[in-house]
Amino acid sequence: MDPFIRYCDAVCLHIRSRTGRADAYRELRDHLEDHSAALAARGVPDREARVQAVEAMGDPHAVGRELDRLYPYCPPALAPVLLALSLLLLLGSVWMLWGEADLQPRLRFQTGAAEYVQEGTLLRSGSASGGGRLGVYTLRAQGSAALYQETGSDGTAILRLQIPITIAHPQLWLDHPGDALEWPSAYSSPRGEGWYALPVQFEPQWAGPFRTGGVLTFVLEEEPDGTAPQVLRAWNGQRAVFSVEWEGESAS
Amino acid sequence: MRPDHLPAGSASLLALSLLASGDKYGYEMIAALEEKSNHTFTLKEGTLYPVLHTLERAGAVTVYQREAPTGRQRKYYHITPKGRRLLEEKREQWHSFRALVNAVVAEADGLPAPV
Repeated sequence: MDPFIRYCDAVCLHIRSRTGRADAYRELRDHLEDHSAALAARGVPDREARVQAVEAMGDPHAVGRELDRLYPYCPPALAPVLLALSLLLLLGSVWMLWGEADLQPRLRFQTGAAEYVQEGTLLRSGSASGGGRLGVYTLRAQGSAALYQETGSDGTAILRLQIPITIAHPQLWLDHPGDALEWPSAYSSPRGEGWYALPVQFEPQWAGPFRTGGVLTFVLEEEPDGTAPQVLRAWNGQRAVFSVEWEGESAS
Repeated sequence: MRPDHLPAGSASLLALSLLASGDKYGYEMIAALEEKSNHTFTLKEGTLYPVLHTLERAGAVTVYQREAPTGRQRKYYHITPKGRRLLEEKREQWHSFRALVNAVVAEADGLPAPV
């Protein structure tokens, strides 16, 4: 084997980076050619010049180990894993930035049932169920509902029915549900007296990449009758229907 | 005596000093080193390249290609302003080191230390 090739191969044996190996091989080979050409110009026979040029280079393994330290190396199997982790990190960062801009300060990044917020005097509580699909958002009751009574500034009684819900939205890029959904406040009376437009609020309490949890609050004119459903109706006619089985009462 | 093991840090001092007088390719630097030392000092030539690549990563030298008389592309090294500042630092360190060694050796010889 040609002594130049043997020397360069011995050096490159220690260089794990493919780019590093190519650069080092080329540069060392050029050096050997230059040195042997200089020796040949002084009258040294070509074969002897090549041998002397290689001997002057020193220990190829020491050179190879030194060069290996200078070239960053990533195992081939690790590259796609790192790429996937980088993409996940990027998506997570984007989502967090969007989420931070929309969600309220006391938002907690966790999964789990939302808790109702105590406002006023607790009249009664019960198990909430139901839900529905409004646009691309799927609403589901989760946890215990509570009925509170407050006194307004004018002395009138205000009733608030709070139902913890989750809102699922499979698309990461969708707006925060509180902003995207128009909350036409509506509820149906069990006596079928029609729709009454009353305020409905959604207060997010936690957020995940595909779900948001919070409390849906209906402001009522009168106490709900038994397990009469509360209906949330969207502008397009879609409905989410929530029912509460109050403690101490059985479902009719 | 042909030293083939340089004190730590002196290889980069030599490389930068050689480039301070003009751009050079690898073997040209070796040849210049031998000539300046009147062929009394030689370096294991392969060890030059880890030194040059380290200097390149530090921004002390840059590289470019130029065609050799044989038609082959040659890799030339060029010292940067940062490299010149690094060279000055290393020169000062070398002078301090040399003065210290001289003082110790002179004292060991029983001769008065140089002023």
